Amino acid sequence: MKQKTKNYLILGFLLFGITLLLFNCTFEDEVSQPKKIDFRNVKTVSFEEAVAHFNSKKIKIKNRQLGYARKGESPLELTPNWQTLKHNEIAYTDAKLTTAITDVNRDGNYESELYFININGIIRNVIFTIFKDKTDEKGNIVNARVFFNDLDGQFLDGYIIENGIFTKRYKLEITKNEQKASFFPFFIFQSTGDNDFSDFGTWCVPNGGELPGFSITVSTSNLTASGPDDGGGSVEGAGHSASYNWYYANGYGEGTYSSYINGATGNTLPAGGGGGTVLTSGQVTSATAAILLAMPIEPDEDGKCPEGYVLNPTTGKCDPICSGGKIYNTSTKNCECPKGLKDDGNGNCIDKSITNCESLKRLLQNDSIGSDILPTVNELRTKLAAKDNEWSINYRSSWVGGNRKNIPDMNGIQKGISRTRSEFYYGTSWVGQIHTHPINTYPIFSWLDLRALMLIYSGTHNDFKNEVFLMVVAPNNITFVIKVDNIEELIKNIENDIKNSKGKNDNEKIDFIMERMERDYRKSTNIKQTFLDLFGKYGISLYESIDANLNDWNKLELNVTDNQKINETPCN
Amino acid sequence: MQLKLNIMKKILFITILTLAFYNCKAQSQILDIDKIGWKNIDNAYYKDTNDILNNFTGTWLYTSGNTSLKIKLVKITQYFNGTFYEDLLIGGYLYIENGIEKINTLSDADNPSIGRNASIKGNNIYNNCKYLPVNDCSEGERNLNLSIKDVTSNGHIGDLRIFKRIINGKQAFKINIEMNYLLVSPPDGKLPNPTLPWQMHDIVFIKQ
Repeated sequence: MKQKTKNYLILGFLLFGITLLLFNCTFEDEVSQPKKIDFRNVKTVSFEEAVAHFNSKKIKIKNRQLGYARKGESPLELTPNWQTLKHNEIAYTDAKLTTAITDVNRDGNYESELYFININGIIRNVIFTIFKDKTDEKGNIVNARVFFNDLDGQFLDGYIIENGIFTKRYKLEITKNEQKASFFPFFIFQSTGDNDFSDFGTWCVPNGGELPGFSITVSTSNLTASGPDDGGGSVEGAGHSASYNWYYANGYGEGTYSSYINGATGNTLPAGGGGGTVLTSGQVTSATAAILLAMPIEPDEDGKCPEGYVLNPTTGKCDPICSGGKIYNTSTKNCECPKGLKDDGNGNCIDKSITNCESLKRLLQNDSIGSDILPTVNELRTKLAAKDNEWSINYRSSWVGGNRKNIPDMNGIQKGISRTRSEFYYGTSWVGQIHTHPINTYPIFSWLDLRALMLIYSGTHNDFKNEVFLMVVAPNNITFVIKVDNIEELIKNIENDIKNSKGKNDNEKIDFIMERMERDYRKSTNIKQTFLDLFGKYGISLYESIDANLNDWNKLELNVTDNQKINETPCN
Repeated sequence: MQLKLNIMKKILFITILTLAFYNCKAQSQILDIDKIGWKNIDNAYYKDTNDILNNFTGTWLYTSGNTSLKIKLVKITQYFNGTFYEDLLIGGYLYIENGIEKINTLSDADNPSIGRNASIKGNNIYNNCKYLPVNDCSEGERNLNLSIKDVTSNGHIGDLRIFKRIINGKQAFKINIEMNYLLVSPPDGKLPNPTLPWQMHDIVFIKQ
């Protein structure tokens, strides 16, 4: 009986051990980058900090025998050449990437460097390895493969460069016991750089242990430049500015991840498959730094996340606890807006550095930061006939020549589907829309326009909220703009209107709202007064251009003592 | 026994009186239908005092080849929409496109109790050409703006602009339809298509 119990205990420990082993070998679903990349708290790592950080990590890895290796290989060992430490200019941020060439105890035709950068107070330190498959006569890179590994050799990310463009991303698919395939991390420093990962099963255990029962397939996914509004045509180069220091990695309308990486090289993406160029080592560094900035934070050797981050059990990565552009302050233990930004009352940090009037003027400017909208407005003015539908054009924030500016949608002016409806886009980089109200429609904004403004404002990145606008171009050179002053107030009023309206569903409720609004517009002898009477307290400001060239604007408000009168405050 | 009867009579009288006052309060104000607007008075009765809506009732047919649109309108009075009472035109329609029946809501006109849930409804009377007029609109002429709901889709409701005409001695409508999509559009702005056309301009309906 005693022996039986003992056997059960041994079996129990064994099963527990195997479970732990399997658990450690099956971390995450996919190596992915966060949707939002915030550059506001990216800082340079000094040489001293870099050396100290690396040495501290090295000791931890050695003590815990965490260096991953194939069976029979010695644990991964890095020997940095600290004489090569340097700071590199990179895209999107004023911070510099600290690098040092390092030897790795693996054979192969590759070059490795240690990368260091400080993000939100945390030093990111990875091994960057490049296999230069084809270079031109000057040594510039034509084709190459690049890999990112953690200091213990754990695979983090990998890309293929073709004709000077980051075209593909490595994707590792590991099948466990012929069950449903899923994604797991790849733990090995890939010294050969080839695609032969067939004996991965023998690599999964630190220090060359063995774990049978796994097979691995390696594939690549395209970093496409397609999509309804891909940055391929609009990301016109790497750059950064003090006021617009972020980029979105993927998703509609934000510029794709491909645009983000290739934008950091300064090489424009080939449109329609054309193009073809080379990359200098500086351009590669800039692009790979962009990749590093986009990488999620990994838990440390103890499996813990840094302060201000929390372990995401699904991804196995560390997610920031702060949102809305806030950064965790380790001293106060609070999420706070970065310097120069303010909480908009909705938990989002927004840039209040420019006024509504300044942002209106910027739309007219034809300089490096202006949008030069007058020619577009003039073109829209030719589409106001009685039989014309609405026409519209959407604007988004984008990098152009190293500056952030609001540029028109690459599809230009679009014909709306009816005389009362045109397209507007919303999403992280969309900041506004201009549309016509043709003859025989009301020359001012409708309730639906207010809701559109709310959606654009709510959808755009915090740094762009000051830029958000909706413009109506109407006959007789009438041009109005609405801007958001208080998004909470706008949301509250829109929601209350729907809540208090009559109808079986939102569709019918909104129809009733529009009917009631239209009745007042129909009876109105002063449409501006009527608009302000209905919507003036919706957390928005109404502006009207004084002249056809849109040089001067008046802010329109109802007179406090006589709401039949309008106060006009010049923007100057 | 007589005493009990008297008490009962008094109770009955007071009850009737109370109910009468209650009803008076429920429709404390009768206002012209044109007074409906953004802000309205709870429980007021917005009445079609000049019987303008009556001119638009009936069954009306537009035909163009194999495509046709039949509209049936009836007037209902004192419909309570949850906030106030109103006289209302309601109705339904039959839309046939290239010989294929796409939508048929004509039965809505036979069920006055559905009120604002009908596929066509409204009471917005214009006397000007400010908004989506037909091509021969005259300032001052009475015309209507009703809502037309695309019942086969979720989100499409349009403006149904109705102008009364006499054509070849027959009562007729000249109509503009501009459909809209009232739900939140997707981020890429691309709207789903309604079953009805997005627009129909200056189409002529003859009274049946």
